[in-house]
Amino acid sequence: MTLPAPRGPGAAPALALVASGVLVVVLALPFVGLLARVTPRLLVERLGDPGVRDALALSLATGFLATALVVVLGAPLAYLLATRSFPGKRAIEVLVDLPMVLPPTVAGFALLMAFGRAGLVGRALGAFGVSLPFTTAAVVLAQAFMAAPFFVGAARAGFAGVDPRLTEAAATLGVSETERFRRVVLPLVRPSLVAGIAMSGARALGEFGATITFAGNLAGTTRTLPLAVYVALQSDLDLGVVLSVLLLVASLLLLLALRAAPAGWLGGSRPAVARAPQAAR
Amino acid sequence: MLVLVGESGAGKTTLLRLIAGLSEPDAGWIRSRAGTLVDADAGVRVPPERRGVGYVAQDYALFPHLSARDNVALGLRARGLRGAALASRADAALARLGVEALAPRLPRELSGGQQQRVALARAVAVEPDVLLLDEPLAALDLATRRVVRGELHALLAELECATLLVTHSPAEALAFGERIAVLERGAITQQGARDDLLACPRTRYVAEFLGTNLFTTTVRARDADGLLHLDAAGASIVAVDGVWAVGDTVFAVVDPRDVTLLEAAEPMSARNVWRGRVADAQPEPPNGDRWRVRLDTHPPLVAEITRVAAQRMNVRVGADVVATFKATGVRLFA
Repeated sequence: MTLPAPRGPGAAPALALVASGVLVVVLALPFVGLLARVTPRLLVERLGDPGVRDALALSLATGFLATALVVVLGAPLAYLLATRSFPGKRAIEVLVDLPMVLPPTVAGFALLMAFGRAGLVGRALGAFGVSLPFTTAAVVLAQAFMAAPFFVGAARAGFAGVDPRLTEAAATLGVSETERFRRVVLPLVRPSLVAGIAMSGARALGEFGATITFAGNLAGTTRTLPLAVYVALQSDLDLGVVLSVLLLVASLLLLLALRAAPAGWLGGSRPAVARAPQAAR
Repeated sequence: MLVLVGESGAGKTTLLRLIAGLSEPDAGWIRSRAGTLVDADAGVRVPPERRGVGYVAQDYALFPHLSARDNVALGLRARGLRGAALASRADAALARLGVEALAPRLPRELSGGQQQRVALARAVAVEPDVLLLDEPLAALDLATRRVVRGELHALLAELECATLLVTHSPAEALAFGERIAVLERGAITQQGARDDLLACPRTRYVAEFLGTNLFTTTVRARDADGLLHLDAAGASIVAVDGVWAVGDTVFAVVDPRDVTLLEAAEPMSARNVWRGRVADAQPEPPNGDRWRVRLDTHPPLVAEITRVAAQRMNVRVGADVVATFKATGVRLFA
């Protein structure tokens, strides 16, 4: 008895091709539509708009600050989560991941309940004459809140991936704990940290729901690029196109930088010790 | 230098980690030349970086992001060396292991044997009081293992520090260790000079794995049939093994269970026939069903026979016997 001949490209691959094709088209069409609307002249003309410039400057500043805040506070937390076990660790892990799945408007609303004029902390702050909502600081807080899970998640995975035997080896060589962290752990997790920074930075840059709910939509103070896009949609479609293209390019650059970064850029090695000078003979 | 031998799970690595300070003991103390390293009852615990205990892990644990030179330099930097002094000391340590040419390479660009040498150079460079080697040959393929074993032996002999080498392989323990300690289920069951352990194993494990006939031999000739003729300090041994050349120094191992005792020589196929007197005959632990019979041949030969056979032959101290073993029963290693 002979076996049936191997099946050629049958029904299943064809179906998979169709499904894949549909999705790729659905994913690509919006960008095509967006880019079809923009002309170089339009870009040049509208990039100088005060509305565009203000929104861009605000977005860059708040995005940078929010990301910095997330890194400074998130890296130690990620390290603890990756290397220690302590009571309540699981609860903290869930808490850190929560903003990733929470609708942003709910996050903004919750921020308002905590830091708003009548909120838990807001009332106390108010006593010192500090009011967060509808300020640029509120934008940073909203962005950091939404972006934190992306950095902490990546950094935690990075720290957890460092083989403890390497730090142990360094210890037996007489290397102190701070030096072990600096010269062994940090170089090894740098790619994860860079990836985390890029992802949380992109999230902060694109933040909309939490920002508009908690910080409002005040031109020059809290109207970041995504908010400006939303406003332009109702009044000035060309401006919306320019702003959208700006954000699209920024996102694309972040993504490409992540993919194309040379190994050295992402924490590859460069010699820490120069070659020994050749002895005179 | 002390070789610690035991089966996997006996606690070898645990012991090394305790000495290095990578694990903490629940009770007891560990001291070195430098003083107390850890004392669970007194609450003393010197951190690993201040113990002066070098540790070469089984998989070497080289820093993957650092070149061989920078791997070695990390520990030297912690000793306060900088700049040109740091680089030249790192290179000198690599040179001592014969791998100075590999200084700029990353660990992933090195073979197993090269990685091992870099790991050793790294550990030795900081001049520890104690050097711990965890299964230094286990990660190497067989061919490399033979070469590295010889080199390692020579290196360890010239090191100033106390060395503790751990292995699961009795053959390796015999090849490395003048002094051997046997670890069984977390406890040292016997320790002493290699020859003492070979002559008088005190537990079943030692008898089975170390209580074997070990001869240091030189390959004298290979005959027309392909058999190797070995000189063993006065005696001649015939063996079958393809890899050795005339002039090689090799260890020959003959399992006592492969040695047959007879009252008189008779025609037989065994290639090795030794004559001698019974020097010692002891029932073996645990229940004495087997007897260890030591002959006064040169070098001495141990046979393990059943109690029934020993009684039938009337084996007693001073009795003349003939001992035989097959050429195929001789295992050779270097």
